[in-house]
Amino acid sequence: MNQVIKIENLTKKFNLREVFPGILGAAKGLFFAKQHEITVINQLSFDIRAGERVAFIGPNGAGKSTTIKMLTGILYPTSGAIKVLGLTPWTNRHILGYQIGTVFGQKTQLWYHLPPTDTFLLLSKIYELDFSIYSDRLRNLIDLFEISELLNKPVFQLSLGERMRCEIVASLLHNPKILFLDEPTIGLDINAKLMIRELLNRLSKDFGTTLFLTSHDTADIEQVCDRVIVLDKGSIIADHPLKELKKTYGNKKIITMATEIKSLTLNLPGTRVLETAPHYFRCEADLEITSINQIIQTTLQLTNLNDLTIEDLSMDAVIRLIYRKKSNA
Amino acid sequence: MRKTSKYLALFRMSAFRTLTNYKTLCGLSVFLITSLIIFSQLWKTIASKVEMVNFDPTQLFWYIALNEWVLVSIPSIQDEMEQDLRSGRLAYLLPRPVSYLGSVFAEAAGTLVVNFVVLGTVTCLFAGWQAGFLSISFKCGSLIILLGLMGGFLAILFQMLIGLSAFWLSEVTPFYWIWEKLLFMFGGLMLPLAVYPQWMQSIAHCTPFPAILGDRSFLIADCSDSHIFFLLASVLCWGFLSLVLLNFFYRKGLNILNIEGC
Repeated sequence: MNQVIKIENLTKKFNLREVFPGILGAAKGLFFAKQHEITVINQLSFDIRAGERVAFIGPNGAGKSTTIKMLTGILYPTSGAIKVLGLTPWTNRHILGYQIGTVFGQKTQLWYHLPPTDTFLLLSKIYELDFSIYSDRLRNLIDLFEISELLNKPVFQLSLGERMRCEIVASLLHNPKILFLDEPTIGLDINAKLMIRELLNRLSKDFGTTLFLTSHDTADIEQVCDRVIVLDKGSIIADHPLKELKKTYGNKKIITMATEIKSLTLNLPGTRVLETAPHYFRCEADLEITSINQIIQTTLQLTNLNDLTIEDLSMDAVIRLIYRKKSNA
Repeated sequence: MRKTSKYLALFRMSAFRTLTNYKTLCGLSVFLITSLIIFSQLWKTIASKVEMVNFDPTQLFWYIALNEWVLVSIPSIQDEMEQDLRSGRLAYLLPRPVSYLGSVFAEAAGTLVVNFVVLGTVTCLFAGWQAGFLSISFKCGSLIILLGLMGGFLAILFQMLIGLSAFWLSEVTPFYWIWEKLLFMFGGLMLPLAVYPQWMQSIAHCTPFPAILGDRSFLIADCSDSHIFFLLASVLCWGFLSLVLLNFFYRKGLNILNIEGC
């Protein structure tokens, strides 16, 4: 498959202005500017092939949004190279604009006072679409995203979930090859989140659109993406296919037990207590150090069990583990 | 052709929105009529005490009306730009294949044109009722309309420059106040420029303000070819300069986003 995004040794630095505190500080600030440089992205390199669904995750301030802004040509890097669909984004921003779509969960791209149908028509002009192509495409997207009832309501009257469906339709009208989504499910209720994830999956399947998604919700990653890039302080700390990521960290299990005795204490190497309550015990077990068999046998020597559950680590826990491993290193 | 059609679509959308927002248009009309009543009374008093330019009472009322007509029609585009820049929305609009400045201008022009047509009708009816209709040639009347619109477009460009100052300033309103007061003073809104001392007239003609308001309204008294030529040249030169400045400061502003983050 073709590479649609290629990033090599990307670095982005910002100069932050410091403000002096107090009234005197404000006066001082008129004459003396204090600035310091921060590195937001540090020597980032990766590539993405056509049709991939990539989750780009990391804690706040890791550099996710800055990377998206450089990929879409909003910002240019301090050093390094980016090619998106063979183009350098910041020098070909408008040409690239015809081939990519962007959805920013925290900012609306729709005209607030217009109903979505007018916004879509306006966008068809901005993206220079033939009316017949636009009509067909819009019809398909209306069916896919089930927004026929929302078309004539002004955007400010839509709920967040409804607005987000319209935002995604707006970003897909020109049939982009890559869709950049920056926290598309932020603030949505569980039903709306599920719907957006399902729609993104169908979009990728039906149109082969490459998805590049940032999110703090690990369910977005698990349900939509097939590859995860984890960013911390501007550098990649993990880059794996989703299945491999789970396998890599799959040697850990969560064991939950309902015990006959009121309080259970388990002092086994490789186990970490997560939660205890009367007749309840929950721990994380590292199977490289202790086997499940060993844990259960040890427990049974101490108490009878009324219930037992063994689970894989949740995606949340896997991500936490990656960060913990990085900070320990 | 398609490149132009996207800006035309933005223009149409904005014009249609302004037209459907008839309550705002009614409010502007009431404001315009109130201003005309106040200014005309004020000027009548002043005119009786000082020797005004060769205006008869009808011309005097129409001069004020034509100034107010353009002034009230100009949309406050700088506030929207300030919002775009301060909220960071600008960054999210950049990936679209349309110029930000072009789209802001197209939308503002749509609002201006609708305001201009509606308020022009109100102005003509009210001024005609209050002071009688002017006897001017068709050429002069057409030029008053055309140059009024051009003056409005020029004011939008300068207000966009004020909006762009949000890249550097935390608030653009004080800048706008200064602009507005200078427009009142040097635009000939408060008094016709001919009443000013010569040195003040010279200063005023080194600014774009007379081209936006007073000089164009003065066509009712002087519709000579030399005045028309001077006015047209003035609008076009200031228009060109404002475009150069807009492009320069916009690029500088985008640089700030890249250096300080957005």
